[in-house]
Amino acid sequence: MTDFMEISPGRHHGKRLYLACMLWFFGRAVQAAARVDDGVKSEFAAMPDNFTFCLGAFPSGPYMVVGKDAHGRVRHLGSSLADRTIHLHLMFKHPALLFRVFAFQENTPVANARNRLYVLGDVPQACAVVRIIDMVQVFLLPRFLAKRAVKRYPAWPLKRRTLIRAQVYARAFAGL
Amino acid sequence: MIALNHFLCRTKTAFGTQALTHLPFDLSGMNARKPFVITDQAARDAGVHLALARACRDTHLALGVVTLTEAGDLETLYHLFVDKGYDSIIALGTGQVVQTAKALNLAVCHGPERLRSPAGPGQIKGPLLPLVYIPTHPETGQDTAGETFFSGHCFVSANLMPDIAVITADTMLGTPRTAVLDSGLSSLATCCETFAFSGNLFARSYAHAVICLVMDTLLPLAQQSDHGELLCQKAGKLQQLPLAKLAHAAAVSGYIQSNLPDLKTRQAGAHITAIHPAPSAALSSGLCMALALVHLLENSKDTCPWLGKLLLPLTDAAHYAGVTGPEQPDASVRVIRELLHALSETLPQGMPKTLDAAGLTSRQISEMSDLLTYVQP
Repeated sequence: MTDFMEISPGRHHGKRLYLACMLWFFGRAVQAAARVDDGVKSEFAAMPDNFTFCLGAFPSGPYMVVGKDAHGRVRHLGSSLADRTIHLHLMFKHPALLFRVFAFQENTPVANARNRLYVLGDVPQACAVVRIIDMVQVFLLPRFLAKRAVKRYPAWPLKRRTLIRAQVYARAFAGL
Repeated sequence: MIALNHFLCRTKTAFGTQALTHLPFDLSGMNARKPFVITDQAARDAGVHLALARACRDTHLALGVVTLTEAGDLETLYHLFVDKGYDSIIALGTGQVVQTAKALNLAVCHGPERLRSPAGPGQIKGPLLPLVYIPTHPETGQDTAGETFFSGHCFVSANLMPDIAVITADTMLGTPRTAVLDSGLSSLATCCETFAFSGNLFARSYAHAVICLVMDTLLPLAQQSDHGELLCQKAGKLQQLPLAKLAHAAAVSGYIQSNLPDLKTRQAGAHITAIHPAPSAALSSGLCMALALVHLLENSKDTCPWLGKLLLPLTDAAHYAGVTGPEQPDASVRVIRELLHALSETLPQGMPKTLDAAGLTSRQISEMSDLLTYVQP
């Protein structure tokens, strides 16, 4: 035995920045879709009040935190888990695996089938969050990308595909 | 009466795309934050340890990487491990690397004096430190089995099996044809015997999967592989995935060996290697096992309960359905013979296809008749 070295693997700053930006905009889009789209609204309506969930990567993020307050309003709460009670963690086992989903190399059901994510919390609510994520991805992405991001591209009516999508985009940019 | 089957597989196997990136999460689940990576010169030269380091980016893991250049220098490894406070072991390689990692694990948990005398089943108490196995070549199943050899002593315990086996195309190095054949034939012989003769349902289902993997990959891989020595570079793009599948098959056959230690083909392979007048590179232990398997199946057609069913994993459902029940045992043996013949054609010097052609006398073959005949319990 001759050779020994210690390696500190370090961080991949480019991927982390990309993920942080994507999760920030995605969180605002979830907030916007919960106000204008009936499908997203009904998923949140089934969740209890003061419910908070986060989507992120093990072990140190980045994260997206979204909560429903006592009045039933859905809000994007930023990227920090500190000083918050999180009722549902939807976590990918590595930032590289979250990157694959947000770079549309792998959709969420496939990632789940490959054992890439774990849930701390109730499974029915986790399923609801996955359905919300799918709907918001269809709102935000052009059809050719959305087809790669969701398991099955939905056949939505024209109003939902155009008017509501435009509203989601506008509200996400404005943070409303 | 329902038979009681025991099967212990304490290894979690991760295979496929991005399998390495699951490792930090799995290690954290075992409270491991500072893994000690043992590798060999070939893997180091090919930069496989860098693929591991990339998978650990954005995590809290700090890796210590040591390269083995000579066998048996366990004392240095032991002091490095203890002095620097490592808490888990990653064996990045095959063969000597894994045996050293298992011996180090034993020395760290039970003291170096534990290695001075052999230990049989049940003598090594309690769990050891987390051990991760990342193969760089397909091997013969010894690496994932619950045994290790160190300084001439054999240590047997289920606790010596790796906790996690990560098998991915990214870590596969170029492997010569002889090593590919040795690995594939060894796994095939182990699992065909298990499938045809064992009543253990769990072992048989593992064996079914391994036979399918070997039949899909072995012949194409043998036709593509290079001659010569082990290459100190990553495998070509076309070979990486088949090599990983073969390594997967070998790892699972190791789980089977741990649970069924009395397999006749394994004993016959060791016996032939020991008594052969001129062991050569062309007569590997895997080939000896395959030749013994053919004899075993031929001699046991009337007593073997599932020999006909063996045709299903050896071929496919359509072929299996096209052969009538009474013809299936012969068809199974014929498929194995045809595979050996096709593999022989990939080697310029050919390879023996029977024990007689391998140079064993009829007296030597008759002396090992108990290893080549199945006796129904």
